[in-house]
Amino acid sequence: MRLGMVIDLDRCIGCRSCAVACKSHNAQPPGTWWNRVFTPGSSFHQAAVGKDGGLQMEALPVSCQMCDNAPCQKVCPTGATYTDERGVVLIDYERCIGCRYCMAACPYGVRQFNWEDAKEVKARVGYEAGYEYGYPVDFRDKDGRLVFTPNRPAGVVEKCTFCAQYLAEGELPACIRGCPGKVRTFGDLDDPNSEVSKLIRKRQTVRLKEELGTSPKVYYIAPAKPIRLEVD
Amino acid sequence: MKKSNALLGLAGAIILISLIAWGYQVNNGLIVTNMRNPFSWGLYIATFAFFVGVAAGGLIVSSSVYLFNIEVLKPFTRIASLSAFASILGAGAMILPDMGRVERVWKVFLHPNFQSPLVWDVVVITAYLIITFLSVYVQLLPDWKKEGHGFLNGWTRKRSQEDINSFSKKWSKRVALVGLPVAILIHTVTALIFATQASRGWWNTAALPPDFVSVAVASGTALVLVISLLAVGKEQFEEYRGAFRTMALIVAGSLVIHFFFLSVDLIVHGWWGNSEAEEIHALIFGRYGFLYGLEILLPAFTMIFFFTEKGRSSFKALMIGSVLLFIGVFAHRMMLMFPAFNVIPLSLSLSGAGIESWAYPVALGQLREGLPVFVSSWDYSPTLVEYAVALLPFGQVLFVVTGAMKMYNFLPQKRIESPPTNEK
Amino acid sequence: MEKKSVKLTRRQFLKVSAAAGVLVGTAGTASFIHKAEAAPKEVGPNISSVRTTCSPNCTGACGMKALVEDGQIKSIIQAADYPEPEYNPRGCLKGLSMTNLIYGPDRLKTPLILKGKPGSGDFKEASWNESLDFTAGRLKEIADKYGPESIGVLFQVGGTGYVQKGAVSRLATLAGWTMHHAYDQNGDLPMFWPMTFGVQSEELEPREWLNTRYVMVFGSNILATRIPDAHFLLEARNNGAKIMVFDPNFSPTAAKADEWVPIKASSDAAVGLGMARVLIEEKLYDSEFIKTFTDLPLLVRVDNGKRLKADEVKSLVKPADIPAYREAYVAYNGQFIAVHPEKLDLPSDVMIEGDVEVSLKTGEIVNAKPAFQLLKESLADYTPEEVEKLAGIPADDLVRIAREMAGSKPLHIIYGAGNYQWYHGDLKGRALALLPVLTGNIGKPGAGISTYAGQYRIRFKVAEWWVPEGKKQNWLPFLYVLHGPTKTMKAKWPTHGIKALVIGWGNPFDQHNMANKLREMVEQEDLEFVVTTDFQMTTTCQYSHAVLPAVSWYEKTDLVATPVHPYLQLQQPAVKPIYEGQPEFWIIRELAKRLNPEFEKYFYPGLEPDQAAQKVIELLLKTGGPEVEGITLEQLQKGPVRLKSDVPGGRQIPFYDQVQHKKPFPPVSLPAKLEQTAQFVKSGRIEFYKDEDIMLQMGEALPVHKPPFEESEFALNPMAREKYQFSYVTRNAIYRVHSTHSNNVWMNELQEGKPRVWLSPKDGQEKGIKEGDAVEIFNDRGKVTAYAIIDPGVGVKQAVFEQGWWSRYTNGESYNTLTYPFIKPTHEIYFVPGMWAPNTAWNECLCDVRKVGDAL
Ligand SMILES: Nc1nc2c(c(=O)[nH]1)N[C@H]1C(S)=C(S)[C@@H](COP(=O)(O)OP(=O)(O)OC[C@H]3O[C@@H](n4cnc5c(=O)[nH]c(N)nc54)[C@H](O)[C@@H]3O)O[C@H]1N2
Ligand SMILES: Nc1nc2c(c(=O)[nH]1)N[C@H]1C(S)=C(S)[C@@H](COP(=O)(O)OP(=O)(O)OC[C@H]3O[C@@H](n4cnc5c(=O)[nH]c(N)nc54)[C@H](O)[C@@H]3O)O[C@H]1N2
Ligand code: SF4
Ligand code: SF4
Ligand code: SF4
Ligand code: SF4
Ligand code: SF4
Ligand SMILES: [Mo]
Repeated sequence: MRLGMVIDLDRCIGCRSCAVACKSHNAQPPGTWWNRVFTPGSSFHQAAVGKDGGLQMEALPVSCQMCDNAPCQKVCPTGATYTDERGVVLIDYERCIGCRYCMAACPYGVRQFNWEDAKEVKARVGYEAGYEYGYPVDFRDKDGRLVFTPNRPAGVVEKCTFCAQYLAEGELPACIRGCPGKVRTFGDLDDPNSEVSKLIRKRQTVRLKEELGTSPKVYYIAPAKPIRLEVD
Repeated sequence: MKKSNALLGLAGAIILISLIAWGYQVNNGLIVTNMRNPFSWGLYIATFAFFVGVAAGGLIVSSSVYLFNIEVLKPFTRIASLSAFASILGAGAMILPDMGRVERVWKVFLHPNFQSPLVWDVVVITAYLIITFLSVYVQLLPDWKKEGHGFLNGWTRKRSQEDINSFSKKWSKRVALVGLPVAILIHTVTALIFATQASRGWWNTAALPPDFVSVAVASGTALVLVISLLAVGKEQFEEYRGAFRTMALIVAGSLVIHFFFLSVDLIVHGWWGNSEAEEIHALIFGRYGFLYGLEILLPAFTMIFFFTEKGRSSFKALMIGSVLLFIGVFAHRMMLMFPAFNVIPLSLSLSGAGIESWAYPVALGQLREGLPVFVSSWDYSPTLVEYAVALLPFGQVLFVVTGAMKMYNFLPQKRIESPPTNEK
Repeated sequence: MEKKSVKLTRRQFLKVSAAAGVLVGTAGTASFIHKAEAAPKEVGPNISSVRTTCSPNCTGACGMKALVEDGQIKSIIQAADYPEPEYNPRGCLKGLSMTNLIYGPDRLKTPLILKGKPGSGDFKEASWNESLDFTAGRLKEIADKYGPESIGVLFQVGGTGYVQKGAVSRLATLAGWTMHHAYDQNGDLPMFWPMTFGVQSEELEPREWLNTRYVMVFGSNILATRIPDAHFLLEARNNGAKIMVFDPNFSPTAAKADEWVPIKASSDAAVGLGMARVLIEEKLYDSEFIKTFTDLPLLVRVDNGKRLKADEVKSLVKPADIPAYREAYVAYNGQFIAVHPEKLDLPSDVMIEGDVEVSLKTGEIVNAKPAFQLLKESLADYTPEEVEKLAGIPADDLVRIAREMAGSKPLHIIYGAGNYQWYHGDLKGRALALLPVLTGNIGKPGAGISTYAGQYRIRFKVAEWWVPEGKKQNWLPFLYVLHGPTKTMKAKWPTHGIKALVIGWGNPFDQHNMANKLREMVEQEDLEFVVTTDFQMTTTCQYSHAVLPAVSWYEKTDLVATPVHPYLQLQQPAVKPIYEGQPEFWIIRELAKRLNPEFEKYFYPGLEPDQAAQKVIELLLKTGGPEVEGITLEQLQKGPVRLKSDVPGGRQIPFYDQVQHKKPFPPVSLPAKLEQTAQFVKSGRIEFYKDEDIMLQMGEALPVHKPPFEESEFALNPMAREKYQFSYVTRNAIYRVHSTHSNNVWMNELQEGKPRVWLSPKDGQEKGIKEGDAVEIFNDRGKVTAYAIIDPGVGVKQAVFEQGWWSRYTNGESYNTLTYPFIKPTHEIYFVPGMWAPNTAWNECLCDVRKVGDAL
């Protein structure tokens, strides 16, 4: 099983709901975003790009690309970053030594460091005393590795886990469920009958920075005007 | 020796300051540095690379005595080994405050991932630490025997002085033989930490490791030179003139090789003219032009200076040349970071809109009033805390070198053929 | 999947439908879920999930599921439990981050009583008893002094919560206070609807967009303002429908369209009329349709511009069975026909072009022309070349698009609120309505014209709860509060004006503070007392004398329905009220009994607020009429239930009945009675010819194009023509629902927490303004500071500001200090609250921009 995601940029409306769903469900502290959506070429999201007559405005969501050949994993000195049996690249929060080598190695800028104690950072926002957001329970993989915890320890790196805590419950990742554009499809790339495999077969897809040989498991369907049927 | 006590005091103070700063950092998290997600390595790693560099140089000097029979340098092999040992200790220590979770460092040994150049580095640095220690140790053994004190040398008590002398000679050579490749390796591997990363165009070049080695030879030799100069003092300068000239030539020569790699690399980066290379060039010649200028001009000056007779024939000239070189090499280490991190790897070109390279913004990892959370470049400059913490290896090197020299005799070994001079 | 909370078993309705998981998300789901290994792991037994409805003032009404642990909401995700998978998953970034508001630093903790000056933030914390006594006392004093009608009530639009808002209406009615209808207050009332179709407004449900072949979007930024429904637009496009976006600015919606047609600000009427001219010139119209359903065959007297009435004509008698609010007009097919307003059957040879002499009962002989003829004559001015001048659309494109549009059915026109919130918004709508009507695109699947504004629509009868015992209600359009009374107003102006405001669900001190009027009224003690219920410390709370902490929709029970999708849904408490917050129902009941002990019995005394709310829901379902017939509370507790409609399949297609079954216009527009709204279209037909005196005087009998600012800004101050040349366009941002979420930390992380002004590169250059510069947008009335975004997609001479910022983010001043409460006289012909009333025109505002120093 190789879990992967297909993001249909043709349908993406750039609403950033996926980014917020991810932030909330995965208890990301202020300033930390595992999942980002920007308008390529633009200095501000949803400002037009180009010149009169040739304007464009597309949205590109980027979270961990779940590289098959993951540089972050290769460089990790302790094996804190590893790929599980479903192809999900995860971080063991109890093994990470915070060297940040993986951040230098990741070509997608998705890794986020806990520069300070997440709990304190959240408290500074001024929530009701004692309030904590995000999925409230630790999640450990089958070998007992801590790959999700609502309050990340200071000094470790974090990133998208494909919502490991939800996958284990048979639920889809938060960004998939939270996307009102129905842009994201999730499933097993090894299964030729999965929706993701079908989409990759049927539609023209690209992966980001493919030339680096990272072999991401996140595929993008390029934005394109549809081929029109004759209007009757 | 009053002077050495003062120096030891200074070293102690420096170490104390840095430890306090480090303690503060451990308490508050790395947020007290000015590193952030888009710019995740800074002064610490640059300092680490600097000390790895000077460490490598030390053994290269002492090894070349044995390997290439550069006899003039022989009096300085002890200092060279000591300098290497102190520097690698400093380098090793410098990496620790950079870890977010330093108390877990043992996990590297428990679950090493041998694919990681960082693990290779840990291996070679540990090896180097042992080797440089041994190198110092075997070279000091005869003296210790003679003077009847020492460190870990109980086993020599039963042996004769001659025995120990020849043991020292034999093993010094053996250690040097192993040491040279390891010295080159630590630098190669440290360079590989960077050079393997295809995500960072600035690093990702095969020229980086050999270039690192050449810079290491230059700066490491310069450190030996400086310590030696200070050890013998102005008064005895003339006596070792030959050795100093040779060291200056080694420095200058390796800088030639460095500049060769540097220019080849710039040409290869620039010739193809892709957008990323152009961005890098824009950064090094524009935003970071000053630092890059230091990195190029200071060593270039030293190189030329040391090739001139004037440059290598006076105490002052050699000191100035070396110090300028250190600054230049430190700038070089800092410049490892700026262009690498401020060219965001995920850059896109939008042919339709005439946009060559648009950097996909990265979340800072911090929320602060008036500061955007997403940035496509980060104006990194170390905080006071970072500077303080980064003093650690400087303090250590000073401490180890001064302390060792105070306790034991590292002064130049009199050459047999040289006429006896004013004994103390 | 769902886990039921042991702790929450008391509330049985918290049971979550097991179906939810199955219907989740995209198509990829099913295949994945079966392969996902293992049963739930490590999930504490105290985690539960509660389904409720997100319902701020955005019309989304998205079903949301709250993940609750230990009595706290940890995260929110789309419920995705609509029986029609097309509607799943509804939601957006704001709904997903409501936790930041519920538990955030601006949450109101206790009742507050103002100590210092209004706006000073100097409050004292008070107990409920103290604050309620104080509030009731002040309201009684004011009612005694100026009459109860001097107390104005603002409770925003009804659909966001029928129970809690109904309580406000109930008390206001009992107490004889004056109510302000939010629909026209918000500027959301598209006045062309009552003028043309006799209804408040109508729209296709978004799923119907899939049946459309040609979509023309006039200034509606669906990708930002209809986030949960935008996918339907793209699906329609990918099914082969052509999407045309007419907007002065290259909006995200324009970016996804087949074509973006940049037009000048408020020139839409010219475009519509230019296209209508092409349709008529080239005979591309559906003559059968217009003869049957519109007033275009009806004769108009050339001498006085009035429509010819049957009882004026010598040879005709007015049919006897005509209700008072209708009129029988005349058509001609060689013979004069008295047109029965409730029968849509004219002979197919009825004359629509030419003219005819008519002998009147008075003996006069007058010339008369069918409205169609007059329309054709009037459209002669809108040649493609002329429209190019007026609107900036290339003449060729205009003709091409008109032909394309005529050739593609069904045609759907989306007329955006940002576009009709102009002084002549009504004219623009009437002009645009010509396009679907002339081509027969009304009352059919995927066809028509729609407006998707705020959550205005009452979807079933609410009177039983809202209006106790059929008592009379006082209504006053809010614009008069800001503007003062006019001579021509039909609504009743309270003798002493409005002296107190009772506010809930709104933040008018930012959102409706036109020309800073509202604040001045409080500061000058014109408004002697303001009491606000909100769950957050808004600018309005800052200007209130008493602040009563309410709760969010995750802490109470309510019933919700929206125009945007046809489901009736519950709000159910996921957690207990936080701090000292209370549901409005409770607050109102407490106020009511303090105002008059008699009132208490109207509010289920003795029942807990949630229990009482359930009783109210049962009452509403029982008395709500055909739309909710058969729907029970139990069904709603299981999940959303589709409202009933006469359209096969229960679909939401406006005028289906009218067109398919030739029923007279208008259909009933709840909550008004037919006799109130039918007077708007007395002919019983779709009306383009309006012969009310003011319409004739203003030259608006037929839809025409009038340039912006002439009758508004320049009439107010002729100097403005020179001084202020930028349009102040205030559009919606994805990060806020109006001012709600202004303070949401994640929303602000996504946009640096800074208000922005979007300028064209040309204007930026002329004004010396660069990206990121602090810019002052100003006119004689006020100013606001924002940071510049230089966007090549922004039209020239526009300062586009993303509205909704709390004043705290704009230097303490409201961005609405620049706008002005213009009242258009044609909006005063009738008065039916929220249906025919003066509508606010936010975008009818001129300004200038200048760079300021970085200091802010
Ligand atoms: N995210 C979010 N969604 C919302 C809301 C919210 O606050 N936030 N509010 C809801 C409510 S209550 C409302 S009323 C709706 C409003 O939603 P919309 O009708 O979409 O209104 P706006 O965002 O004001 O403006 C939409 C577009 O109108 C264009 N426009 C302005 N003037 C003209 C003109 O004269 N002609 C043409 N052709 N275009 C023009 C603007 O450039 C802009 O692109 O949104 C609803 N949805
Ligand atoms: N210049 C300009 N001004 C505009 C607009 C524009 O485009 N330009 N848009 C206009 C439009 S279209 C509209 S619809 C209006 C909207 O104007 P408002 O409806 O006044 O704006 P909101 O910010 O939605 O205010 C809703 C308030 O209700 C509170 N609230 C939410 N839920 C509850 C609840 O359950 N109980 C209570 N008691 N309070 C609750 C929220 O915290 C928030 O403070 O703004 C109008 N103002
Ligand atoms: S939620 Fe969906 S539509 Fe919105 S930005 Fe993310 S992927 Fe795009
Ligand atoms: S995207 Fe980055 S973090 Fe994710 S697997 Fe690839 S390299 Fe690792
Ligand atoms: S920071 Fe943590 S995850 Fe990243 S490389 Fe270092 S140990 Fe591995
Ligand atoms: S899969 Fe989960 S963690 Fe990854 S981006 Fe989506 S929501 Fe975030
Ligand atoms: S804010 Fe509006 S669109 Fe967003 S989830 Fe709530 S109701 Fe839906
Ligand atoms: Mo609205």
